[in-house]
Amino acid sequence: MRNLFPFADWQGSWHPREDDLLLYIDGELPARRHARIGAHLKECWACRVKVEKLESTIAAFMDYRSRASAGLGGSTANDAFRLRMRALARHEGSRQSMREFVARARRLAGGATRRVPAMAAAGVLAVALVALAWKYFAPAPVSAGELLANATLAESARANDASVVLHRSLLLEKRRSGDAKPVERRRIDVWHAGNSGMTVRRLYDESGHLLAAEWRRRDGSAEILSPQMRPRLEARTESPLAMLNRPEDLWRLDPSAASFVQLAGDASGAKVARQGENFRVSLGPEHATGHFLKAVLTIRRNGLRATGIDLRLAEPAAPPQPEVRTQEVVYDYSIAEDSYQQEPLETAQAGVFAPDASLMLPEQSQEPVVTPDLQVETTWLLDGIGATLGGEITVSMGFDGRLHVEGIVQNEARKQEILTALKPVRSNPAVQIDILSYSQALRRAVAATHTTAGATPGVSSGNSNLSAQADISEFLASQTPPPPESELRERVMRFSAEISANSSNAARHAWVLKHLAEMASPGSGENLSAETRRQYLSMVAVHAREVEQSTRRLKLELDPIFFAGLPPPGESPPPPTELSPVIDRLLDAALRNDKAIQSAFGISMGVESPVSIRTAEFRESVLETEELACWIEKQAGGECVEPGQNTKASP
Amino acid sequence: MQLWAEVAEQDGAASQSAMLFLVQPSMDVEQEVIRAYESLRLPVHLYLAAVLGDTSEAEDICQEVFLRLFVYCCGRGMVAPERVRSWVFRVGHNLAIDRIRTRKFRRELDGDDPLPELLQLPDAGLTPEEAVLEGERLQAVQRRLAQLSSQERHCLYLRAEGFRYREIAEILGITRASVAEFLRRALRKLMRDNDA
Repeated sequence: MRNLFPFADWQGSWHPREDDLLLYIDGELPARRHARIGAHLKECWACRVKVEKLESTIAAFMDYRSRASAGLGGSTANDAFRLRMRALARHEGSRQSMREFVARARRLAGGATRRVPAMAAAGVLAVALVALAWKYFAPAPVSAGELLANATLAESARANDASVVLHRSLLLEKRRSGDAKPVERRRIDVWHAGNSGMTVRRLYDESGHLLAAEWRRRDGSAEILSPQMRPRLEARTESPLAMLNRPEDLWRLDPSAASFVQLAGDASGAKVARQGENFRVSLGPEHATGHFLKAVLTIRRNGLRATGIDLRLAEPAAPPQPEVRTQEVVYDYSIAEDSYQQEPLETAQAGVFAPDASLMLPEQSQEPVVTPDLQVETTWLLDGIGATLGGEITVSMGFDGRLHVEGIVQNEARKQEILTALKPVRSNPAVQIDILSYSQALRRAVAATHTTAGATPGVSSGNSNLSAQADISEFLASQTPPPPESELRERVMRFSAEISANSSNAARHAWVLKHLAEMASPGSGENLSAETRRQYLSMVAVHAREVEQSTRRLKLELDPIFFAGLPPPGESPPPPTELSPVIDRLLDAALRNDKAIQSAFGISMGVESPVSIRTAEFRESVLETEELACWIEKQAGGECVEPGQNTKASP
Repeated sequence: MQLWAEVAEQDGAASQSAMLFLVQPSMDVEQEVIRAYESLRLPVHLYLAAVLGDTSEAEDICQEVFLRLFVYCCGRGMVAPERVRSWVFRVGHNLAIDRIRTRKFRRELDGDDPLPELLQLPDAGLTPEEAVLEGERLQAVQRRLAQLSSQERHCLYLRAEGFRYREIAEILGITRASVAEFLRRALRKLMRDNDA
């Protein structure tokens, strides 16, 4: 100190130096000088002003400093430090015990030298002990369970920090075990928002094309979008083991302590090794299940963040076939962190959590659109193989806005036949095809009513109900020349079967017409393209012709036997004007006729009393059916011979 | 033979005590260090931010300091509580200076260190005029702080932490008289009438 006693000779002219004033207010002066300056300040205004000035300067600085400190220290700093501290404590604990051990060994060796003259022996002993100590304490400073538990804690602390958005970029490489060159390389971009808990994961190929993306919410539910497939929804996070069974889904596996613990089940068996800045936790063969052979998780020692996972999986070499046990190929997958960033919530781009347009687009374009053309074409294809008859296959609009082609068919062969016929529309997403094969027995029972009446027991049994057959028998016997007695029975049966077949054939084709009419809703006929309109009309014509001809044959068969004594038919109904109500009328009539015929010939299983076919009403109904069918056929562009002159034909 | 038997016996005892350490690695020290961290992390962080001019770098070093304290104490037992404060500031200061040196080495063109950008917005609840005045006042302090040499700034911030000159001298590795001189110059530069 230069101015140990820096004062003038008389009291009035002495003032402390400025740096002494600072030392004075800081309490850094020796007691005597402090007291002296204190006394001076009481007397001297000028020096008091200087002190005030110093104090206010200090006050201004302190104010500035306290404001600056308000912006420091996030809440996460504490957690992060504690975790680093714990990891270090494990490590340090073992190092310390090591030091203790070496110190004791040294003391021991020192004691030994006092008793044993050979110093060298002690030196060797010390070295041996140190080596022994290394062997004991060097390899595992941290247990896998604790390391993974702490890393899991650190992960959740980071993931739940509402003030930041985490962004990390991962590289996924797949290579055959032992090969250096990867067979597949992918980039995975992961964004996680701490405040909403939303995680978005995007998969890119090597050239940067977006292949798929996953949106996972805090509750574990997820949506996976990909242009190759329909959107997939998951209610809960899948276990990593389940993901390993589908290697194509591995990109959704997070390299994290949490998922590794799930993979391991019991993490205590895992081994920990230190490698530079990282811990490597490995699951060996004793944890292998299914395809999964081996896993290694890399955790950075600083911050305890998992930065990568290596997996070894055995996968079938070819698509699995049940009989042949296929060879398995072992693949190594590595998912490694390429970059990691924490961004403040405000600066993070909002767009990263929005669904990608390239993934949404195919979804929208898949919206099924059923055009009238499609409806007609589908029916046309089915009609070509007779699948529309008898309600075997129905074509209808479903509530989902798609065209449903449904039905139960005789057998597998028929089903394949129908599916083959539907090939041109099968790939159309708007067409839903659902065709089943039915049990053969049930099918035969139904078919019996349509085909050979000879197989029907009711006909051959000579049932008393069969008055109609008696009439036929009587009619045939009266023919000239009469058939021999032995043949009569058979001819009656054949004749009945023909009548029955014609009747049911007319009814079946009337049904198809009805379906066709329903399909073409009012006005849609104009919307059809020329080609489909032609197809549609030709279908109508064909079925109308079938109704008309079956009914005509029926009439010709019935006329001489049952209509013989009836009065001549009245006027024809007024000419129809619209197609759809005519078809309704046609169907009504055809069904009514069929019911009457089947009950008269005892083929129907119903118990109701047979409807008489020997009436003018029945004859009217048959004639009406024929006329309507003919009219429809002509409307659809077909050629129909007016039944007019034939109706009164009688033997 | 007798020696070997004795060694084996002692060896067993030694590894047993070592095992005990392994199971319970200085739990008290760990707790003490965490307590020290919690009470001192803000002052240390602030000081290091002033030295480095970068708050996140400062936080990094701040944690490092306390981890070092832990390692230091593991070997020797906990530092006496009254010494902990100056210990962490000294180690923190040295780490920060090292950091600046490597930083300077990396950026050769770097002249003076950038100023700490620590200023927060003035308090809410002020009228707009007051807020403007307050802002200007703080900016004036910041401007004047910018004229301080790094030594002056270190002394000023450490003094603001309540360290005595002797402790500051110890932390910075300079004499007590230098501390007094740096502080005097710092305050002179900060005084208002020195504003250009």
